[in-house]
Amino acid sequence: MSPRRRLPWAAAAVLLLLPVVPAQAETPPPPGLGIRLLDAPTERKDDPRARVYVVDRVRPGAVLVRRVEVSNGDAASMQVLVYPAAATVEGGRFQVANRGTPGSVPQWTTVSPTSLHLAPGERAEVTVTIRVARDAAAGEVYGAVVAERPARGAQVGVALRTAVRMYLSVGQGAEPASDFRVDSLTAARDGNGRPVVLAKVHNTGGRALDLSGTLRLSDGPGGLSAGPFDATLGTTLGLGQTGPVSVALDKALPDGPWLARLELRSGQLRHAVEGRILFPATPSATSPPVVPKEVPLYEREAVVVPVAAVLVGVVALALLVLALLALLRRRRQEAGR
Amino acid sequence: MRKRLVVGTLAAAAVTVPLLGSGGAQAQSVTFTLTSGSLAIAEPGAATLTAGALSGLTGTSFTGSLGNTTVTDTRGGITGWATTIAQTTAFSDGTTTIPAGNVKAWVAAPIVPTGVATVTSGLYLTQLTGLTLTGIGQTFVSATAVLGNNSATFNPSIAVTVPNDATAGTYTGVITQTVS
Repeated sequence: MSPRRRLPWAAAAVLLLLPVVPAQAETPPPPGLGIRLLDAPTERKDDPRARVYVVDRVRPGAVLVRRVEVSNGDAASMQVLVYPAAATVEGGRFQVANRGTPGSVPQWTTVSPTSLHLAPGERAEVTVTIRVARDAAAGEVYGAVVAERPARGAQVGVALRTAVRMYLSVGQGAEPASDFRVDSLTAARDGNGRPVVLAKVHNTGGRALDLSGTLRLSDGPGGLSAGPFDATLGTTLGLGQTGPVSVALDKALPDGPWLARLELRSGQLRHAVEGRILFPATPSATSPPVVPKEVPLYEREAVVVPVAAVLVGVVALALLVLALLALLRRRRQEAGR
Repeated sequence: MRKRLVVGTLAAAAVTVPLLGSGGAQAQSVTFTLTSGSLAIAEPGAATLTAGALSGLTGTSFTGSLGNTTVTDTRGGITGWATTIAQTTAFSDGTTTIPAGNVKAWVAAPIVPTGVATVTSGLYLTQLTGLTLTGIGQTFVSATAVLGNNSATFNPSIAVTVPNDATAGTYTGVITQTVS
């Protein structure tokens, strides 16, 4: 384990040492119907997605137990249904199916209890047991643990649901690697003349991705730099799917050319690409797409920490050698006397 | 080095090993307890439609709003969220059922979130460009570029086009909003 890897582990260990009943229990739950995941696998401690979703690699026949907490932040008591639901990942979107829609997740999963009566401000724990079928086919399975407040209102009833997403990778052996590629970068202007950078992202790995990232512009006219700008996209890309990432920029930005650097991440997976782009001069126009090239990530920690570690190691080694030499010399001198 | 060992041991003591059923659990999965917050959705249950004699409205549409819907994300992470909207029970007076496809939803006012997030209903900004509902949830409002806790309130507008052959009566139906 490199020193760089140890840092987050140490941080996670410290987090674990914090009281298990946190400020959460004292502060009132957020308004309405809330849900949160209570357990995450230790091997995914560093994965931000595994802290909010059930993300797991499972073998056929495996049994997984997780807990969720459902809360009522309203001033009135609330009747809540809890159930597993199927979900789809399409067009960059994660969509939870209706109650009773068939699918692997509702077939494999049981929750207990299935209905709750929550007083104002009350929280309740629900145990989720996933028994993966012995004959389950290898691949990705999506679903959710859903808490539902049945419809309220006279003429137009409004039902509310909140859910913890589930991304299960089914198969024997190690988990398929996650990866993605940025196929193209396109500079464009929207109808209002606002410059926009569009990137086409392709999920080339074996697991679904939830992408986020930033864009920086540099090497512009007169050496100008701009950014970082936040990337927005349909949050989820399924296996083999391609989705757009768009970054809206400031209208005052000159046309360029610019060196655009896009950094995207999903969980612990990160990629950075660069390409030279030029914004069109007129609104509702698009410049030809550019194929960007992959560049290393700016990771100060990644450079500084190993370098520091190596330096410390070299100094320690030198001291050790000196001490040994001194010891040897003294022994020789003592022997010589 | 000794300090690190102590931390490691305590951390190992804090993790819990859930009891697994006997049914072929090969991989013992070790979990730890999360202390982050929740993803919540609130709505007053006060959806309204413009009142009027239905007989005089066939072929036209009812409009109304679902009431202020608030999504509160206290998970403190970088993962966004998205809501879906579905007409889970079609409007019906017991005789005529208005198909889900006759109902559109949109968010007219810009959504101003609290915290760091970009929250938008995409192109669903007017009745003309509104989302045509189906019985299955479709992505409606989404939050991206999230950093830490955030929340957003929006009031979905709906329009129900009444079919020409609709009977007079009191129509009821259910719209489901899901956040994940």
